[in-house]
Amino acid sequence: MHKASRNWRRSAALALMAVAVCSRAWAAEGSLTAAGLLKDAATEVSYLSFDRALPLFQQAGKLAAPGSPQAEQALFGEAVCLQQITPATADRIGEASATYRKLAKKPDLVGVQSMMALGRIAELVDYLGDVPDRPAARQWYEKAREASGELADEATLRIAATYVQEMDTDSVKKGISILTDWLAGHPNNPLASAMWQYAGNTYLYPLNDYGPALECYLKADALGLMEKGREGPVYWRMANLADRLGKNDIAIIYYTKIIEKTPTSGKAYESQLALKRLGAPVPEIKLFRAGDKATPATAVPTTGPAAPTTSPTQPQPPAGKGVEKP
Amino acid sequence: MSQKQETTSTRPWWLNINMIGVLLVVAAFIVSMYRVSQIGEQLSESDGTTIIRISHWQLELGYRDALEDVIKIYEQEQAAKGSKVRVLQMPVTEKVYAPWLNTSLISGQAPDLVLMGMSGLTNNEQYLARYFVPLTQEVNKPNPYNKGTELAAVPWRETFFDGMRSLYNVRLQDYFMVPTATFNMRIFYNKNMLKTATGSDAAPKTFGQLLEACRKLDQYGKSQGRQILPIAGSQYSVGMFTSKYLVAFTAGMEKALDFDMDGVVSPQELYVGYVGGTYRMDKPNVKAYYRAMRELCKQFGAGFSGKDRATAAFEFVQQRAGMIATGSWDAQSLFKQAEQAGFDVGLFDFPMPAPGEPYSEYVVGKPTEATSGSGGGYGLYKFSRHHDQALDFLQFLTSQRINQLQMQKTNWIPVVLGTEPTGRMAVFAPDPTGFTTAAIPVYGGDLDNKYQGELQSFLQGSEAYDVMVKEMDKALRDPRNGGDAAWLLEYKDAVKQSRNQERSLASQVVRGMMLGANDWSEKHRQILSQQVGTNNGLTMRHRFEEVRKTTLEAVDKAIGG
Repeated sequence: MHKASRNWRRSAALALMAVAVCSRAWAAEGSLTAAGLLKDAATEVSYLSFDRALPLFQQAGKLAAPGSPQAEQALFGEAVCLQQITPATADRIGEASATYRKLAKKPDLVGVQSMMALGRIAELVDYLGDVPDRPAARQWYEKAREASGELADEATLRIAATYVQEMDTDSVKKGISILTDWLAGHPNNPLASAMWQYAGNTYLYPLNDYGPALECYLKADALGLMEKGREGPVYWRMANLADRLGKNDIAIIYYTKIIEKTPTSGKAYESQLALKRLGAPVPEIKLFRAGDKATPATAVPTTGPAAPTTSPTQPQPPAGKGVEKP
Repeated sequence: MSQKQETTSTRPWWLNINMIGVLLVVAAFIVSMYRVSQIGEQLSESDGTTIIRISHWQLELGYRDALEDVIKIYEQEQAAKGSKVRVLQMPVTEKVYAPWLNTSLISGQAPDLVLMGMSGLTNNEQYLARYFVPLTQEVNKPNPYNKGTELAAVPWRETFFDGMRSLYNVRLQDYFMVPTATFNMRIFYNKNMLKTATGSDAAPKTFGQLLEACRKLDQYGKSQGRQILPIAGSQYSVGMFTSKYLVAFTAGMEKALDFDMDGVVSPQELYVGYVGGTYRMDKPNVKAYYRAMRELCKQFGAGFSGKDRATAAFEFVQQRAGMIATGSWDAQSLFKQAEQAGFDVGLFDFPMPAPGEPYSEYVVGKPTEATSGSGGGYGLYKFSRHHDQALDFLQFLTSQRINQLQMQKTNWIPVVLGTEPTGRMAVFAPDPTGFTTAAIPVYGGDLDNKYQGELQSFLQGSEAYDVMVKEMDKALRDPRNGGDAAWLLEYKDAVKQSRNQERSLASQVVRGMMLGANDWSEKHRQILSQQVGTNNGLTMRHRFEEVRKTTLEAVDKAIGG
């Protein structure tokens, strides 16, 4: 009896607390600041909830002092949301473009990011009936590269990609030369590895030129492949390219790397067979050994994220409970 | 008549049949209020106890008990350190897990630790980022509960055999869960029955021995005047056999089909091979694969594709079948039920044809299990009131010592380095030797449906191989739903995917600019590299024009797009 009455008292207290929390939230609404709203909006963007972020940016813009960095950020955030809300529409994209154009005149990071965003709008298909305009995109990327050292590497990669996307041999080669020229002057830029890998991919297809493709991949790997944890498929490609080109020394290095560094790619056993065929030493696959002393199976640095390597055609458990288990 | 009734009724006005309903409603209300209060009391932390709630849908035998044991140890160890901690296990049947979890997440009442899966809110990136804590920073640090082991200084994520690769969210560039187990499939068999039928209870080691054991089990049943199915097949398990053997028979085609040399024959590459003649269903190895699968499916009994998982399991434990293929998650239940039924269970891997046996000349080797990912991942609820304590319990749960203990008691396969499956589960340990490539004449959802239908008819013996080949050829060349149409859809998806990556990139820019996130540029570079590599789908489009000598616009027009 005593317990029951305590429970009722607790329920009543809970109801009162709920009322108190609601009143507090209502009262707090009046004291919102531009900084607080910007933070909330950016948090929504980090959840990819652009529709929820848009009104928060708009409200922050109203509260921020005109011309202040906060007002500029709020406007940029608003344009980002208009560009990214799903589904994209011609009206919203047009509105976003107009805002970015205003911001692109600013001589700061927001200005350069706006130039890049305008390039992206020109390059991508945003809505039904939208047509990519690669020359226009290129112009915006070039402007961004001239305006900022900070985004110059990214802008260069984007410029090169607009040429490669034309898919005719001359344009594709021009795209690669833009990358290699930039890399000659900026060999250790943060995107250097991604640039070499992209050049390698492009030599492989559409150019079907295996020799330079392998050279580019080797340069990318020397810097450390960009996509941590997804090295397996690239190593397998490099080993196979080298094998087909008769560069056995390189093939041996990469077949060995697959066994030792990326055994979860699924290609360790086939690498063992290849090494046997090439007459090279065959390392053991150190994976899933029951009760084995702990040796992490991979060589992924502790700071970078890893990514799944499971291929879509691997045998999977049948639909139903088995699929849900993991 | 009615007048008579009115005059003869002596009952009080409120005593009627409707009142029973009212009373029932009131009683139900009181009971539910009392229950709510009771739960409230259970969750009360008024005495300074920290309560951590952990939810899952693993209702198979063993899991809950093993988790309860782990909880007890944790609570005792915490008490020894002077912390009052209680961990409440919340098992919820998988039938309602998704709606229950969705409601809990949205209402802000979700458990601190959640077994991820089933619910769309744990898979969709937008909700994942909203409701769950990104764990990348945490998993890059060592797990303190591995102190004193060889894993003491190893980053938490690298303490799992696959480095948690299968749990990484590429779009959000973060980890949102930590694994507790891995899963694998094997064939379970009734040792007593096999011994009686064949004279030995040793597991078949080759495909030929498996078929021979099936033949003898069938004969044994007939000699006893009852039907014994050599294998309890079902719609659920047929795919386990067909996927395992598909690799064995078709992996040798990789070199000819894998155009981009990434080690995977994509459906698109397979289609290119099909129209170019590199892959055909009349190739000897492909034909042999289907013949072998039909021979195997004969052992399942008629109408196997109409049976579900539970029916097949029932046939096995009722000793109406000699074998069953299923996953490690069913092991404990099958062991227990077999024990009650009075027979011993043995386990073996899907055997390959040995040299000299039928089909052996078409088989390159067994499929690898190196790509088995880690699973059973738990996520940390973003609005947990005891974030640090919940994280601490998750670290405890996935430490070497406790993962070994829990999985041993559950009869599941542990995932932490240095652990091992228990004696009879050892056969489930993934075998990293073998091949990866599998080739079937399927490209796109429509063709997949068509293929599954044709395959089922063929495997059940109601359709001849030539008919299936003809039907698939017709389907693949169909201008509306065939390979070209699938390519068009894949291209459109690639364009959309590229556009979606733009959203992730924008999100990282805003995080860096307005939230001061110091990892934004690294994440931005990763996504940028992935996006640029696809050329916004244009590589795929160019390849189509090169291979098919027409345009995707023409295909779109042909299908009325």
